[in-house]
Amino acid sequence: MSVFNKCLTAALVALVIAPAGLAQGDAMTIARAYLAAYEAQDYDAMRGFYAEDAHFIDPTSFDIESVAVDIDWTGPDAIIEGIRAWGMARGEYRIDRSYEASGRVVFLAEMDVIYAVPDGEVVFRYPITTIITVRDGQVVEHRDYTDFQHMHRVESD
Amino acid sequence: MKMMTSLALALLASAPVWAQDAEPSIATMYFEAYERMDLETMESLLAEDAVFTDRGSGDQPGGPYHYEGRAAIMAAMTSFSEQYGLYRIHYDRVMAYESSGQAVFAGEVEARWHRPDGQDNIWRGDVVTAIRVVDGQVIEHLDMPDYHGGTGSVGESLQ
Repeated sequence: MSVFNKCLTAALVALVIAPAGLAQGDAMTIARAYLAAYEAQDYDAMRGFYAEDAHFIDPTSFDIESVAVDIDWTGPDAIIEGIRAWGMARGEYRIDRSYEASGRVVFLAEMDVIYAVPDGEVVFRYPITTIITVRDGQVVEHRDYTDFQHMHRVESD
Repeated sequence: MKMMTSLALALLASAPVWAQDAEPSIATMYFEAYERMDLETMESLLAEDAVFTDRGSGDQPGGPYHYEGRAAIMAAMTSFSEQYGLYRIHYDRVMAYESSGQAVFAGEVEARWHRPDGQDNIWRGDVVTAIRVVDGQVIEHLDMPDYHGGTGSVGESLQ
């Protein structure tokens, strides 16, 4: 992650948290700021959003043979350890629709996952539905539904 | 990093190609029965301990709409149909996919209720529905509608 991205994420987190505290932000603002930290793979910033009992789950991953460990983690440490093990450099959401209902923010999107390799980057793209649940200003659940069937590698320009 | 890149490549290699004339899945059959409020078909596909939960309905009249068990789900659907006249929940799908027994249908929904005066109450809004199937039966139906961003009123239809 570049220094610029880290600064941007930190600024977003600061905007959401300060000065009145996370509880003052609305669910959509918090979810978008959290998603920016997730895209940047800024683990410190992500940790700042998670509730102590936060849950990260992708039920569409459970029967995918190549996904050795189910994406189903509880608690900031387990979540960050699990995500860190993916080794992705960053992610990019292209959001088609988003809305909030009862503290849950839904993103219908296409996601690029970018890996750094010695001679550049490798990019994989897939449709995804991400639902971020916010309670008392904190992220209590990150729920993904990934379209693994339509995952494809994006050739660089 | 190398391990995950390999994982991504393995996923690509193992991804099955959708057959154009494939039989509809259990999740799709259930979902399409839900769209047309075909309660008999829904009941035949629900597991006895299935759960229906509408996660966006916390502030809706009578909400949250959360029902545990086939009997409770069918009682709620029967009430929506017979008491309030709900007869159609059509999705204009922008996303529809399945993986690991989990189906996702997302887009804009149009729900219609018969009114006593012969007209329809109509509500339209964005929605995501996730259907989980285990051993050939639906065990979870999770809805996430955008009640506040849509047009029309669900509450008006439930009075």
